[in-house]
Amino acid sequence: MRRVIELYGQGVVDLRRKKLDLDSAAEKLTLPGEALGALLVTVIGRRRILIENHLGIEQYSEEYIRLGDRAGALCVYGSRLKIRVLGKSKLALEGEIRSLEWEA
Amino acid sequence: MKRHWPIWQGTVRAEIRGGEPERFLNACTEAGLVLRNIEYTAPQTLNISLPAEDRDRMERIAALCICETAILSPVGGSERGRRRLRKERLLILTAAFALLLAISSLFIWDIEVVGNESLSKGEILRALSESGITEGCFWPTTDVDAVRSRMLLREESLAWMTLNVRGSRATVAVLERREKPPIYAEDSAADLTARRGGVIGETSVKNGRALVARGQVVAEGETLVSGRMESETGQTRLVRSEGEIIAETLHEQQIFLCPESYEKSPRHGVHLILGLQCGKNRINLGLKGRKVLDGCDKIKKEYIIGIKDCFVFPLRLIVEEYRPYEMGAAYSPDPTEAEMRARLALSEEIDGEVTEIDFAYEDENIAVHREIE
Repeated sequence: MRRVIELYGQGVVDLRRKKLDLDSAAEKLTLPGEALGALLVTVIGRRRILIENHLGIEQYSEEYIRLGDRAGALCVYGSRLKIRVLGKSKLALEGEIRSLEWEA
Repeated sequence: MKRHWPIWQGTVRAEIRGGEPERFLNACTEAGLVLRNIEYTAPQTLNISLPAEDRDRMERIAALCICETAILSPVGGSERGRRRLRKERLLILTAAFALLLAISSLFIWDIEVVGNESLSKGEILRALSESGITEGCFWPTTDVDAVRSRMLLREESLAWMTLNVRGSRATVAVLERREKPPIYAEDSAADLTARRGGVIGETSVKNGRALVARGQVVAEGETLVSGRMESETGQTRLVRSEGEIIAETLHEQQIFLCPESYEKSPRHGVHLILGLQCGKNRINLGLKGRKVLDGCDKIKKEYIIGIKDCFVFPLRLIVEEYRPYEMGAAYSPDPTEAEMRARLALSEEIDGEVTEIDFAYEDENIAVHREIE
C-alpha cells in the first residue's frame, strides 16, 4: 500500500508500509508466487493482457492503466485500451499495448 | 471468471461520470459485480456493461462513489427473452384462440330460417329443438335426414326442409306446403252463394243462371247464381257458375278509446347497458343500478359476434338503450281519431268500396261505426 504525503516546505515524501517480499517467500516455500498473491500477468500477443491478483485500478485512461499491487503498481501503456472484463482481482485488457512497467 | 454471464441474462450499457470513475470500478469489483467492455470515452467518463440484474446495485455503488449514471441501452438476452416470451405468449394465445374457434365451430350457435311464409321462425325453431337441433348442439353427429323426417312429420304444413351447417351457423331452408287448386269434374255443377246478407246491386253473370235481381234482399248462404242451366230441349246442363254480384252489406266496427291519455316527451340523456348473452345466461356489463331504468323506453338490440356466413361465437352482444321520458299532461280522446281508426279497420275487412258511413257514439269515449258496403 502506498501513501503520498506532501510535507510543508519539504517536498513529497513517499511513505510505504513494509512490504512482504512474496517472491522470496514463495521461493523459500517452493510455491509459485501467484499462489501467495503475487501479480500474475499473462500477455497474449500484443493486443491482450490478463492480469490477476491486482489490488484495484488506480488510474485508467485510453492510453494508460495503472493497477495496484502488493509490491507497488503495474502500469500498462498503449492506445485504445479497453477493459474487456473486470472482476474481483482479475482484469482482461485489450488494445494496442506498447509497454508494461512496474513501479516500486 | 467465477460468475457466468449467459446471453439470456441481459445486459445494461451505462455511462459513468464522476471525479474518480476508477474508485467506482474498484467498488464494483469489491461488491462482486462483473463489468465488461469498459471504455474510456471522455475524461472522467466511462461506459460499462453489466448484467441487467446488477443494475440497481451498480447505481447504488455509483451514488456512494459520487458518480452519475446514465443507462444508454438495455440490450441483451433479457430483452430478447422478454420479446421471445411475448411472442410465445402471443403464439400460444393465437393457437388457443384457433383451437377454440375450431372446437366452437363444431357446435351450432346460430340458427337461421329461410323460406318460411306462414310458419313463424319461432314455430320452426321449436319444432327443430324437438327434433334435436338447438343452439349449442354438436352438429357432426346430427343426421340431417332424420331431422328432416321428424320435422316433416311434426309440421304438416312443411313440404320440404333441409339443414345446412357452415361453421357454427345453421341455415334451415323450408318450403311450405301449398294448397292444391281444387279439381272439378267438367260435368259437375257449382253455384255462387252469398257470403253475407245484403241488398243486391249490380249483377254480371258470365256462366250459369242468375237467381237474384237488383234490389233483392238476400241472406247469408243463399244461392245467387245456379250451375244448373235448363235448355229449351228439356235437358239440364251442369256448368260452373261464374259472375260478379255486388251488394250492399252491413258492417259494424267498434272502436274503444281510452278515457284519458298521456303524451310522452323525451328527456335528455340515454343510458346504455351492454351485456353478453351466452345461451340462457346473461352477463351485464356496466350496469350501475336499476334506478335508471324507471321511466325509460327500452330499445334492445342483439348483435351476433362472428364471421358472416362462416362462424359465430356462442356469445351475443346485447345493447339496451334506455331513453328517459316525461309524462305530459292528460288529454281527452279525439273523436276524429276514432273515426280514422274505424275507417282503417273497415277497409281492411271488406273488399269493396265503402259508400256510406254512419258514426254513433256511446257514452263519451266509445264510438260505434256503421258502414255499408
